[in-house]
Amino acid sequence: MDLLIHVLEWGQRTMDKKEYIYEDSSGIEHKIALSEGDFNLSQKDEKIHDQKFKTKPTTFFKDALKRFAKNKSSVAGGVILGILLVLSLLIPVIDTNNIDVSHPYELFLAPKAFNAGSGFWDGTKEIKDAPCDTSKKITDKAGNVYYYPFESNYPKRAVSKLTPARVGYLEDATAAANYGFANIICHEHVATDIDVSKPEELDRYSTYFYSQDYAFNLTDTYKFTLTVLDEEIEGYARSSFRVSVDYKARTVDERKLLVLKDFDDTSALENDRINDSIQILKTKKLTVENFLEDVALDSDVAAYGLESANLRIDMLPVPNADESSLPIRSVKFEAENDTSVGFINLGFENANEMILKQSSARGYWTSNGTKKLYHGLGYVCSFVYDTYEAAYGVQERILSETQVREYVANGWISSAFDINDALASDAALQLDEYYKGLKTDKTDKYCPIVSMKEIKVTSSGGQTAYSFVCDIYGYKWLGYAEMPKFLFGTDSTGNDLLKLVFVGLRTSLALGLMTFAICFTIGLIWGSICGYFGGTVDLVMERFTDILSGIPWIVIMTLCILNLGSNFFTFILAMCMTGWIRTASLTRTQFYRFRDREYTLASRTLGAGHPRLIFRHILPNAMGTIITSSVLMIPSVIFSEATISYLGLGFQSMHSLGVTLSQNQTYLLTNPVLILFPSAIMALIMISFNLFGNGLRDAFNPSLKGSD
Amino acid sequence: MWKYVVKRLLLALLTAFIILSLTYLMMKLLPFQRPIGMATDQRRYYEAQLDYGYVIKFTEEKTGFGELLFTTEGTSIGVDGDGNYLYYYQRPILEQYFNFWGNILTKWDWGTSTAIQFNASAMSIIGSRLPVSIGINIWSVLVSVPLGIALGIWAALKKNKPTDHIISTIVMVFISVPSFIVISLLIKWFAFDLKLFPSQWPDATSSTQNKILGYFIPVMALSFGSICGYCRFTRAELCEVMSSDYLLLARTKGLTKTQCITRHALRNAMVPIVPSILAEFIGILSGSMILENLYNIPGIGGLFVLAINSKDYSVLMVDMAMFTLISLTASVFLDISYGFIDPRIRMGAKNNG
Repeated sequence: MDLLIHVLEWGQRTMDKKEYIYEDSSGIEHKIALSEGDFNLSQKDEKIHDQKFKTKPTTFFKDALKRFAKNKSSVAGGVILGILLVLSLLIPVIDTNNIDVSHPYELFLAPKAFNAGSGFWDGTKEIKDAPCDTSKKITDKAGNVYYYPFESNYPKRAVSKLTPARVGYLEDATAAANYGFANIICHEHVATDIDVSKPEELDRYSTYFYSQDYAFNLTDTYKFTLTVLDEEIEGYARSSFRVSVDYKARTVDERKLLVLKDFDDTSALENDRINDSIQILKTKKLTVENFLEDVALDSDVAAYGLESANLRIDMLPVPNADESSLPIRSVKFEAENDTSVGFINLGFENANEMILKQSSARGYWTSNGTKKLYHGLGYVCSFVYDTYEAAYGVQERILSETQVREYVANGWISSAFDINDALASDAALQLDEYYKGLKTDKTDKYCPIVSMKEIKVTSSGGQTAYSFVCDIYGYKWLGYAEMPKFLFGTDSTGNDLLKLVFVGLRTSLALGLMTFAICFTIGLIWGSICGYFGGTVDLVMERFTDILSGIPWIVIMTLCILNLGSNFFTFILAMCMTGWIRTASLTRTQFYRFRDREYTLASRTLGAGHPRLIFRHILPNAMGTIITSSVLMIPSVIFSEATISYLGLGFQSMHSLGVTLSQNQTYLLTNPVLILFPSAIMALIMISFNLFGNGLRDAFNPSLKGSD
Repeated sequence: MWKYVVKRLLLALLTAFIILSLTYLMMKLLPFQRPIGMATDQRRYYEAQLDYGYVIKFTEEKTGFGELLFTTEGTSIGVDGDGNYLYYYQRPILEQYFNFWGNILTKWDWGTSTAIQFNASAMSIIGSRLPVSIGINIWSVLVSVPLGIALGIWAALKKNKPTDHIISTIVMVFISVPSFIVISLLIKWFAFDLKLFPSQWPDATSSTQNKILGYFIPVMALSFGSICGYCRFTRAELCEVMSSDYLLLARTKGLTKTQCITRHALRNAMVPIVPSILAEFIGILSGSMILENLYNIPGIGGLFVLAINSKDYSVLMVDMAMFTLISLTASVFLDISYGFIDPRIRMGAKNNG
C-alpha cells in the first residue's frame, strides 16, 4: 500500500529527531518521530536493471470491471436490477391469473403470503371503527356488548377478534342514509370550513342528535324528559336546546322538521327534582295532534299522517366544555298509554359526547381543503377482517338452473334420473322430481357445492324456473382448485397486483431498452459525424440539436400523444425525438478527444481511411464511456412514462407501472398497499438503475466521478 | 463577451420561434374542436375568430332547410338574430399561422379559450393562475436552496464518514423515487393520517389559517427533489475543490481548515452552483404538473393537464409556449451568468471538449 503522506506541520525538534504530523487517507492524524538514521538506502550497492512486470497485463475493460466491483453499492444495484429483470420476465409467465378482465368477487384482497392466523401478510386487514349492525346484540360474561358490522359490508364469517362496541364517529356524509337512523345516535349538519376552536364559528351550524326510529301512535300522548345538571355552565344556557320531531310522512319519502313551539313556556312543564344536583329541566307532554297543529303541513302529509319519527334535539355549542362539566344526564321520550313501545332512553354519554365533540378540535380535513366536523355518532367496532375468507369462504349463493346442469355435466352432481328424459317428457312434475333427487358429490376436488339447502320454484306465464340455494366454497365456485394467495393482493378490479406490477415493469423496461437502442444508434451516428468532421458540418448540426433540445419533453410528448394517440410506439417516437441528443453530444466530445491523438494522427499518416480511423482507433476507445453514460437514459424513460401515465395521458390498453399507479391513486386512503407495492418496485428499479449506471460510468471514466 | 450574449439571445429567439411555430402547426393538425357553450357565446367566439383572421364568414338569407349545404370538418354554421345562416370556414392552416403571429406581435393576443373559461382570453387564464404557481415555487426555492447547499457542504466536509454516507443515501433515494410517489405519501401521512395539513389546495373561501397550512405539502413535495439536487451538486463540486492543489497550498501556508474552506473552497465551489440557483428562480414561473394535478392547485401546471383533457387547444398552446420560453430563458441565463460569475470562463471561446 502506498500511503500518501502529507506533511502538514513541522513538529517540535527533539534531539536530532524531528516530529511529523501526517494525515492518512482516512483523515486521521498521526505523529511520527524520525531522525536521519531511520532512513537508509535500500539498493545502495545493487546494480539496477530493467525488470519484467510481475503483474499481468490488463485491458481497459478488465480494469473498469475491477473498479466497478470495488463500488459495493453499484454491485448491489446491479444485483437488484438483475433480480427485478428476471422477475419481470418470469412472473408474467408463471402467474396464470388473468389481469385483462375484472373479477367482481375478488376486489381489494389484502396481500397474502402466509396462512391465515399468522398475523403478518396473511390476507387480513385491521378494520377500525366500522359501523355496527345494532339489530343483534351479543353480551359476554363480563358484560361487554358486541355488535357485528353490517353483513353486506363485512360478512360475519370473515370477522375475528371483534372488540366491544363503542360510540364512535362515522366519517361518512351519508351515514344516516347508509346505515339507517336506527344505528345513528347523533347526527349533525355538514358544515364546511369551521374553525372548531372558535365558539362563534360553531354558532354557524346546528348540531342535533337523533333518537332511534320510532313508530308514532297518532292517538297517544308522549312525554319528553331532558335531565340536565343543575349548574350554570359558562356559555351554556338552558335555551340552547331545541326539541323537535323529524318525521317521515307515510307517503312522501322526505323528511320534514317539525319544531315544537314555545318550549320555554314553563306552564306546561313539570319540574321534577331527582336529587340535589340533577334537575329535570323540561318535561312536556306532547300529543301528535298537539304538535302537528303548530306547523302548516303539506296536504298529503296531513292526509296520510305520520309513519315514524325521530326525536331530535338541537343543541347550541358549548365552548371549551370538558368531561367534568357535561350537562346532560338523560333524555327520555315515552309514550304514556302504549307501554309496549316502551321508551327511548338516549344515554347521557352519547349526548355529552356530542357536546365534547363540538368543543374540542376534532374536525377532520376534507377533500376540498376545508375543515368539517364528523357527520354522525354511532356504534362502531374494530376487528380483524380476513378478506380471503370473505371472498373464498363457504357462503350461501343462489345457483341458476344452467349452472346446476353444468355441474351435472361435470359429474359434480349426480341424479338417479337422466336429465334428457326429464326434459323430454315436458312435465314439470318430472323435472321437479329430477331436481329433488340431485346428490352432490362432496368428495370431488372441484365441486363447489357444500350442501344444497333449498330448491326454489317460480313460475310465471307457464314457465317454471328453478333456483337453488346452496352453500358453496367460494374459491371453487370462482374456478380455483384451492384457496388462492395473492402476494401483493388485488386491486379495484380484482386483478392480481403482483402480476400487474411485473407486467408493468416488463413494459417499462422494454420501453426503456427500445428507446435506448434507437436513441443510441441515432446519437452515435450524429455525434460521430459532428465530432469526426468538425468545422461547418459540426456547426450546422450543433445548431440543429440546440434548437431541438430547447423543446421541453412534455411538449413533444403531448403533441405526439394528441396527434397519434397514446400507445407504445408513439411513446417511443416521442422519447426518441430528443432522447438521442445526449448520446450525440457525448459521442461528439469523445470523437473530438480521440481524433487528434498521436496514434490516430500516426495511422492517418500511414494512409488509413476514415472507416479505419473511426472503427479501429476512435470508436473502441470512446465506446465504453458513451454506452455507460447513455444507459442512464433508461431510468429516465421509465420515469417519463410513469409521469405521463400518472397525468392520465398514458397507455390505454397496456399495463405499465405508471398506469397501475394512476389507477390506484384513488385508493390511497382506503387501500394504501395498492400504491405502496407498485411505488416500492418503481423506486427500487430507479434506485438500482441509477446506482448501477453511476457505478458503471465511474468505472469507465473515473474523471467524471461524483458528478451528475 | 457582449457579442456572445447577443448571439446567444438571438439563437434563443430563433429557437423559440421555431418551436412555437412547430407547436402551432402540430396543434392545427389535430381534429377541429368545436367550442362548447350557448349559441350566442359560440357566435361571439366565431366573430372573434373572424377578427383573428382564422375563419371566413359567409352570410346567407334563410330560405328553407333545403338550402343548408354541407358541413365539412372545420366548417361551422350559425344563425344570426335575423334568422340568416352564417357559415364560418376555416382558412388554410398556413394563412392561420401567419395571422397567429400577426396577432401575437401586434396585439399580444394568443387566442381565446374554448372550454376552460369560454371566450376568455387564453393569456388572462394563464395570468390568473400564474400567481399560485409562483407562490408555491418561490417558497420551495427559498427552502431548498439554503438547505440543499448546507447539506451538501456538510456531506463534503464529512466525506466518506457515516454522516456523508447517510446524506448521500437519502439523496440517492429521493432523486430516484418519482415525485408522484413522494407527493402521494406526503398527502397520505400529513393530510390523512396525521391530519396536520389539508389534503387538497384550500379554495378561495377558506380561512387564512387553512390557506397557509395548504402551502406545506406542495412546498415540501417540490423541495425534496431540489434539496437533493443541490446537495449532490454542492457535495460533488466541493469535494473536487477540496482535493485541489491550491487548497493544499493554502493549508501549508498556515491557514486553518475553516479559513481554507470559507475563503477558498466554498467560493470556488459556488461558481457552477450560483448560476443554477439563478436559473431556478426563472423556473418559479412554471408549475409542477404532477403536484398541481394531484393537489388540485389552480396553477399553470395543472392547467396544462386540464387543457389537454378538455381539449382547449388555445390555452394548451399558450401553456406550452410558456413552458418552452421558461426553459429557454433559464438555459440562456445559465450560460451567460457563468461568464459573469467566473472570470476564468471565456465567453464564446471554442470549446471542443
